[in-house]
Amino acid sequence: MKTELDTGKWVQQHGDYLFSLAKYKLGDEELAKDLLQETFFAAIKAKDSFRGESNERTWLVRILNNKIIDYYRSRKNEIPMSAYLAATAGSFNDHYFDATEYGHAKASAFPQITGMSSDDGINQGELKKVLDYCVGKLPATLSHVFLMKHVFEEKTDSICKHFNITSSNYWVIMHRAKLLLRTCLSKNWLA
Amino acid sequence: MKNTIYSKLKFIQYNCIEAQRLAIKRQETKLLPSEYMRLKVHMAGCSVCREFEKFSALVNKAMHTRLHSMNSNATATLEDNYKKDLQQKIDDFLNHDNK
Repeated sequence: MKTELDTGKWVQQHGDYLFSLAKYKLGDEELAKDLLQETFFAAIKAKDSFRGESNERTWLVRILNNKIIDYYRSRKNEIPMSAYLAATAGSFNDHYFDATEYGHAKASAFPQITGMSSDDGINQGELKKVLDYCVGKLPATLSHVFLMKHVFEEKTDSICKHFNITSSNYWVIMHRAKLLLRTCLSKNWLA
Repeated sequence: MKNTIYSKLKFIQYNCIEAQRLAIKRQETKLLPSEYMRLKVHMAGCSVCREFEKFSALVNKAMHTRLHSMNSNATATLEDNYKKDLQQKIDDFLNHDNK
């Protein structure tokens, strides 16, 4: 069992892979680069704890994931989520819904997207690309919750605890994220 | 009395905001019986929300597939110069740490 770390080849061997993971989980290239560097530094500091139980890459991924979770945690109090949701509710709902009376959807805000409502759409590389792009375009406040759900696959109640939000806040956030994704996809998806 | 039921029904039929939230909620967890009823009544008459529900399910599925296809392959690459710099920083950090 290999218990020595090969630090001199870290970037060459794991750089792109860790960067891809970080970029995907954070939705932000610059941030991904920062956390990648922090991950390598943290790994060097913790190098004595590497005993070769897992391979080098698995070990680095674990450190990276902790860095990403720490980042989410540090962000959670920056903007009080419920205040943000309340402040933006009016303009948001006005765009998609006739919110004055019942909240009926405005047909103009829900354009038809052809060729994507079927299951085989998922297998098309193009959809993944467009979806990635659109997830990256979500406002940070929404994307952190969305990514926590769909990239870290955390349970809803632990996400609520984590961001200190109510479950009804959570459903509002997911709804908004999906409305924005739908608009973005309808603009960028060419069936 | 009749009026109240009628206005409640109308509220359910026209309230796409609530219906879409319930549709998303239902894809993750069980709805309360009253929520389920409201969703069913709304969906029966609203094609926009039916389509939105499908879209939401598609996003869930695509994100899941996306995540699990990532597990072995790098999908983004760093520029060579950036890599060289980063490796240099790592080497420096290591030397500094060893002193």
